[in-house]
Amino acid sequence: MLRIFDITFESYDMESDMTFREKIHWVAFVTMLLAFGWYFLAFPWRDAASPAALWTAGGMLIPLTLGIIVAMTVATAILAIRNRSEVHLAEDERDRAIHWRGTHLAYYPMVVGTWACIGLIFTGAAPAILLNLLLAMVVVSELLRIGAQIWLYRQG
Amino acid sequence: MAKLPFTNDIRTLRFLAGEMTQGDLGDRVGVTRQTIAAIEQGKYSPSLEVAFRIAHVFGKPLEAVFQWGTGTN
Amino acid sequence: MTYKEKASWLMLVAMVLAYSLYFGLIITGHPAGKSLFAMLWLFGTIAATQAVVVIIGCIWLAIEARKLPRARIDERDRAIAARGTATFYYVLLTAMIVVGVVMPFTEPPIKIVNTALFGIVLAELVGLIVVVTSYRRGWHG
Repeated sequence: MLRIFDITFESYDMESDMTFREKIHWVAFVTMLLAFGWYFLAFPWRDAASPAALWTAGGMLIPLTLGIIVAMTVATAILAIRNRSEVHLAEDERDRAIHWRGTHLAYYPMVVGTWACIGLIFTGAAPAILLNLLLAMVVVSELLRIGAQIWLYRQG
Repeated sequence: MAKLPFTNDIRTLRFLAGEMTQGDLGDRVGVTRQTIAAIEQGKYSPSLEVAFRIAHVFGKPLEAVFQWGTGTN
Repeated sequence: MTYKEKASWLMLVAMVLAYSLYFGLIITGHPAGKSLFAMLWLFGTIAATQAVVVIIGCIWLAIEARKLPRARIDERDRAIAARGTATFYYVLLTAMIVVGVVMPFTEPPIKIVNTALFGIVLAELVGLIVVVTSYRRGWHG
């Protein structure tokens, strides 16, 4: 009788309830939010229209990109060690469905942002402003994509 | 979230099949343990192929594993 | 073919014709490629013509579809559409990283605009090709 309880009330533990893929999504979401949150807060917006601002942006993006790569690599390695049995599992139909539905949602801000950037060029906006708008569009789209996929995983 | 228009007896069938775990069933069907959990909880509607594979694992017809809700269109 | 598939083919063909013309003119040195506003005028004209053709075509297809039983969009249509937009997204994401993060350092605005437009068109074409291929060859999710 006790065994029925074991199988009907399989212990709920949020971490083990997550697939390896979902955990990677969480890591990516938090890493992007922190990294680009820092970037957009630390960028010298007062001087954004100056020619030097473009190189300032480049100077900030290089360490930021390296930081994201290192953080994702370390986190993925730790998760892979903790979830050895799941690392090599191929994407199943639910993973694929979640992937497509999440990416479908991110399509809209990407399209709107792209046209906004093209429009901005016609106003003679400085290159650094253009770069930051495109970057913001990419970041918002990716956060929406990953966030939507995490939400879909949590919903089942 | 919308309720699925069908129910399933996968949890009971797993128990009767020698207390098969969700992971074991997932391995045999080709999906993750979490997908089996989502199917059991009525949160995910599997494809026809996966539904047939699950029924095949238990050696049962599809209707013995999945039941269409009464009063559903 | 369902309405969605026919509409996808119509958009694919219209885009290939319209934007082959536009980018062909730009690459071969059309004067509009040298000035932002002249380029905008040329692109706008071609894009508006393409849009009118697609809208009229889609209206005609929708009228034809209503004459058939069970012409509504179903789960297969929705799944294929999601697959198409997901493909579109990744192509556009790559293009925008090149346009927005690499090009401002070295290229003039007119080249950035044309590359961005090319990115959008390419993404849309690849997405449409995925959609029509999924319909024709069958797709099992």
